[in-house]
Amino acid sequence: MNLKKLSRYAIILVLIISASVFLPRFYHKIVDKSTRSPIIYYSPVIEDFAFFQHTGGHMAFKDGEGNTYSRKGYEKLLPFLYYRDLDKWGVLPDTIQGVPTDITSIRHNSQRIRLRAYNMDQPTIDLYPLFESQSDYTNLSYPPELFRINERIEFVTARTNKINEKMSRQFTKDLKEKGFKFPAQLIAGNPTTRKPFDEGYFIVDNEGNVFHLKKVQDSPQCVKTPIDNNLNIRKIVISESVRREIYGYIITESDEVYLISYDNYKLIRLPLKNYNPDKMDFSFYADPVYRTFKYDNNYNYYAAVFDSNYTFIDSMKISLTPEQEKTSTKVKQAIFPFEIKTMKSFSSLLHFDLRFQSWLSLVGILISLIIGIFVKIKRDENIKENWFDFVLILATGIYGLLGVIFIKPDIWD
Amino acid sequence: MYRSLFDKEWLKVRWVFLAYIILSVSVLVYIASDLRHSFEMKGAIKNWLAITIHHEMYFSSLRYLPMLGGFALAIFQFVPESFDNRFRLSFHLPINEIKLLLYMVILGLGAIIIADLITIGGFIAVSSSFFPAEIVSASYQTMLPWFMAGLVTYLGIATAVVEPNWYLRIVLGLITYFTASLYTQGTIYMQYNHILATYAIPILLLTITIIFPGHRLRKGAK
Repeated sequence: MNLKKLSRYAIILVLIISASVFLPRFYHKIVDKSTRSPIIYYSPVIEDFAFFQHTGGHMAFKDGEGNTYSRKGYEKLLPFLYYRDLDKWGVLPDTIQGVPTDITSIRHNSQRIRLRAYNMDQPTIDLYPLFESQSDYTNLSYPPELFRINERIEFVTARTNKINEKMSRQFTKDLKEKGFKFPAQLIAGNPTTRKPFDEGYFIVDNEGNVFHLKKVQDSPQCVKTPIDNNLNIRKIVISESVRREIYGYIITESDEVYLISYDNYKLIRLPLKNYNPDKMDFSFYADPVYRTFKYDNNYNYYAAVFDSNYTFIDSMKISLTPEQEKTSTKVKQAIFPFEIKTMKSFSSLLHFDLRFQSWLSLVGILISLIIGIFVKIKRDENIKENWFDFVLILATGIYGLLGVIFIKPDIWD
Repeated sequence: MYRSLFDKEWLKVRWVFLAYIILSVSVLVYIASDLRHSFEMKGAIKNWLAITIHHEMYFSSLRYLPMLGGFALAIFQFVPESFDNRFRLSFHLPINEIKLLLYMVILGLGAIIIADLITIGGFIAVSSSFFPAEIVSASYQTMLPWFMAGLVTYLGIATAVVEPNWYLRIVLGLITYFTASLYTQGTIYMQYNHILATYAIPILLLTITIIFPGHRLRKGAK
């Protein structure tokens, strides 16, 4: 193939690449219908799951047995969640399962922690604020410096953009004395002032040991936790709560989830079936009686409930119509033989993923081929010289068709 | 021969080349003054945290600049040749048209890359006076695809300008627009890092696309 022909095919290939990104995206913009997620909780009143779901334009409130409720009836099943409404209606019970249900106590004994799959691969800029954990003031305030961990821990003062040597040496010395091996594999904290107090950072050192570092009265307070260094920790999520039951949780490389308890960092393993951190959003919800874990991939919605000692009680799964079974998806598969996905629902990164559709694509390819032959005959093109055009249509369907129609070969080719 | 061609190209693009550099430097001066103001008003640490936690892009005014530069350079370099059949004069030079066009494109790419390196160098200098290495490095890595968008725009628009047929010119313009927009989708830092090599493929393809319209022009296609 000479360079002139190659140049034409280069244009067509660029068109195919762009079209396979944007045409399917455009198709989705035209046909997509909202699928509302079911919201699942566990009711201390009926000791069963209670959930609501948008179906056919209205909200359906149900329990695990399939009984339906009015919105008010549903809220009465979940007093720890809807206590403000129940209080307004004057129907908030005094106790539930022996637990007092005054608003302050419910608030103090509830906690939520979320982890979106999006956060699993999010690129990080590895500089972190270390708050003063025992400040004289109620509100937390940002420190004047951020820290990094390489061959030592370094604090960089923002105002001067220079390393605070005194602090860096003091904290490095303390970490080394506690047995910390530089550099760090993972640094996890909750860098926000919107929390009741500060628990500092959980840092995995080079040997897999987990250290808990805080700044107390401007000095380091570092604890080498008894957490097993062979756990292969992938992610630690920290969230301070006045409940002071758990620091947060750990997700391992093998997708296991452990809670880190305040009881000398004892780990509580959660048996969560089918949980995939890369493709599922995850949330932990504690109320005064139960601990509920929910995770979903926009199609399967799982909930698992435990008592306050983390003994398993029950689990539930709600499945929506799979994407593949929708008519709009089948039409898409017939029109587009593949698509290049630059964005994915559960990823924060940009991609260039070539995704082939299904055998339905053969329909689209065949139609494209027929149109291609028809147009070429009509235009009196030299088919023998440009046979590769048909190879392109066979391989790329509608994209190739658009390419060879728009960028037509010249009569002298 | 190549020396004279170089002089001819330089005459056409020198002002737009300088204008692109001046514009880039002006944007850098703006970014620096904006940072100084924001550091003064909000304090340095808030600015740092807005980046490390919320992924705010203090350099977002640079996002479409390389595309603008690539567009302007392609216009200034190829429009004078494409109208009044002036290209056909060049095609009478003792050098074949493919080599001629590729040489012109290489010179144009060289000019863009030099201007971009100056911009990136200036950006690193400005950023380093406000931010630690982690933020500076994350920032220019985040900007790299934007500069790739500039190369796509230059190559695509050059192809469109050389194309003699207006209808095809519009198609080529659209292909360029959509392809370039693949590189400016980022909303957080370093989203393209793991896939940059793959995103280089359309650029490689585009380096030879100018031959097709050039050949059509030579053959007198309408």
